[in-house]
Amino acid sequence: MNLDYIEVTQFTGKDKPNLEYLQREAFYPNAERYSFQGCKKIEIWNFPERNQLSIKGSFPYFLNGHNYNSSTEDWKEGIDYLSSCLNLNLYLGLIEAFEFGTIQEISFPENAFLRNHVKIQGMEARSYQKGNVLTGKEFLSPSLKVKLYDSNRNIKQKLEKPIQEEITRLWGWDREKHYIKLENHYKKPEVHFRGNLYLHEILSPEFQITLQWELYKTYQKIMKTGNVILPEKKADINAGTIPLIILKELESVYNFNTEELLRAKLKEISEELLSPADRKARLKILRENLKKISTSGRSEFDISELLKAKIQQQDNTDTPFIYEKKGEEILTQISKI
Amino acid sequence: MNYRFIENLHIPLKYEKKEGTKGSFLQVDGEKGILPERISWGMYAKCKASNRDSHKVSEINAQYKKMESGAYKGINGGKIHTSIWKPLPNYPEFYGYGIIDERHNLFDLLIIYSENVCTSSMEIHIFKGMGKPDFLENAFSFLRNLSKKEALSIQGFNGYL
Repeated sequence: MNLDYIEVTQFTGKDKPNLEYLQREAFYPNAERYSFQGCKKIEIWNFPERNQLSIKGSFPYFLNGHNYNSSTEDWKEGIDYLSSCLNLNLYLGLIEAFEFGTIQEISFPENAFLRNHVKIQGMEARSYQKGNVLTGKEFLSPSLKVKLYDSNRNIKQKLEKPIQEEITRLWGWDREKHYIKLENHYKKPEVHFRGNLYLHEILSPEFQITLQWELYKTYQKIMKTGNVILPEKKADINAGTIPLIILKELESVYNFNTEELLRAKLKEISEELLSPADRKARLKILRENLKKISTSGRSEFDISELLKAKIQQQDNTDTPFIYEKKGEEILTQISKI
Repeated sequence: MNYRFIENLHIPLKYEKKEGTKGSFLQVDGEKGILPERISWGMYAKCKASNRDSHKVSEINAQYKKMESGAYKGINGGKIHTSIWKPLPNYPEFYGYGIIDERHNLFDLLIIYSENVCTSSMEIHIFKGMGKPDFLENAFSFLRNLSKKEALSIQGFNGYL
């Protein structure tokens, strides 16, 4: 679990930031946009009239070339370097937005996982597809965006081979397995956390623990389908029961009763088309089919326990979020040549 | 610091001594347009008997030609001057290091490597923004690990580029 994208604004006051290391990308009436090349570019906006400098981008991508995992130590090294180049103490920067999330291995295909995560009460839901394949979902409120997406696809398609090999070596990523990314994108952290946040604060171990549990709680709020226990006999999974299985799954999410809904629908049909005896007969078949379907309290796609175990494992270490390097020194990983 | 991150800040250049000169070196490999193609190597400034100057091993002086482009052409009227200091104690295999150019808010680190104590050739490894004390160790360590892979040897250096 780690921080990812961030927008941080530093008020420069009388101190002029050093822009020598930046590449100028564009000029606007009141702003200048620059970039700083690390493993990937990070965006830097200078607002000279307002004495402000803003940094926007994913620090893990900037520092490591991927966002599979990045420790707070990585962040500190990167911020020290950037602060040194810009002649600013970026730790005092105000957080305008940030993301905190995790990549989690799952035991089922990513699109099935996504399909069975339906909505969060009071938040707008959006789905993202590539062709016919569901690749991501977002749940939005004015201050928070919860993101769920197929991270395996991203790793395979966006990351270069040496980086893929590195994350396999360091964190055991296996291209044949399934992985999703769960992320809280705090659009207005000052609203969500009721007060301004500064970069040094969000890097503190205490705040990192808060963010881990926030992520867990957000995940639990996602209403999930996949809580139906399928009939054991093949004959019971027929064309009549399959739509009922889906309806039963959606009951808890959309707060309705399948049987009542079906009965009401039958009542709406005119007697000229369906006599009372016909209705009764159809309702009897529907009830018999419904009896074949039972539900459990928990969705089979629910990964709450995995997330909880991950947090507890991280909490038990002396230095939260500093990943175990498994005896390897980063600097010995020569992949160039 | 992450290996890959430092790799992105690293610019390796190679210079060879111009025949018939005392300390003039010409660029023979590496990205063009970083340092001037011709640099002067040797101790020119008068050294004081200070503790600081006792760590000084050489100097790089150079000036970009009129038509030549370069990463540092915009500062100091296109003149390059940097003192070269003894390497960090744990990295004696390197000749020394310098910084371009603190006077202009730049802290680019130059690490000098040579298999012939800079008598006929040298490699100048530039690390953008890593000239402050906090990052020196990272840069030296990065280069040592490259050298383990023989990337700093003459053939390896060409292969590395």
